[in-house]
Amino acid sequence: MIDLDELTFIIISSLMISDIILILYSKKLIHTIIFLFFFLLMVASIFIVINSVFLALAELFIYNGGIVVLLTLGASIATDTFEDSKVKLYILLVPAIILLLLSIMAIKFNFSTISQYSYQNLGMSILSSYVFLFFIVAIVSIATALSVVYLLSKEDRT
Amino acid sequence: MIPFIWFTYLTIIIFSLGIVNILIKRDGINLVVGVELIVNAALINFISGSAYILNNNGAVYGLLVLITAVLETVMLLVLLLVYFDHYGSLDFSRIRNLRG
Repeated sequence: MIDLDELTFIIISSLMISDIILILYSKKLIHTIIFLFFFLLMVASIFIVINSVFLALAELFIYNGGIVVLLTLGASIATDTFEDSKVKLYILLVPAIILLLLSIMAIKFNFSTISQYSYQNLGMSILSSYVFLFFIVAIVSIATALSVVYLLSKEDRT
Repeated sequence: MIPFIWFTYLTIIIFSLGIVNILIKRDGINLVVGVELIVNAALINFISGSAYILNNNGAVYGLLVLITAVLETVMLLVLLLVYFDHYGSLDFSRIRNLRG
């Protein structure tokens, strides 16, 4: 008998995969971004299903609030229309092989010792064990901001 | 309780479809969308692993991946803007300078 958690997971994951398939088949960029928005909503809801509300909120704020708006601004400069891409079929062997290899690895892995966990002391863990990593991320953020300002303010942009 | 392997299969499928999106689309925005799909697959894997393997290392790494993905997307969009200024299009098949 399937319980409510598993049913929720099945519904959310099927919506997620159908969103990705719609992204693959959409012709217009704005449709792609709308389907990406719904995909990211599904990712946030799957985080709520596994009881990590903080990261679901971070996902909502950062991805749905920030990146989707940035992509919309980026799509607004794309004035040209794209033809249907002529894909050689053997290129699609690459993701097929990756899917096969990862599935074999997932089948071989031993999941029997895993049990569910509720988040505790996440902030303590961030501020004690991972301060150096966050320091590096802060430096990368500053470098990104400076690079963006440099790239967008060059005089010889045509 | 949801079996952990379901999350693994879901992330494998999302990862593969993200690679398909990068391979079959030619414009820059769809490249960014494909990268976002792959990053989200990694994120779901980190956080579900953290929820099931009884420590919060995965959650911290997930948060780091989340922050870094934003920076990477911003840089990609700025590079797309520079590319658009240079070539007048976002079509990546116009890059012919590196052909031998």
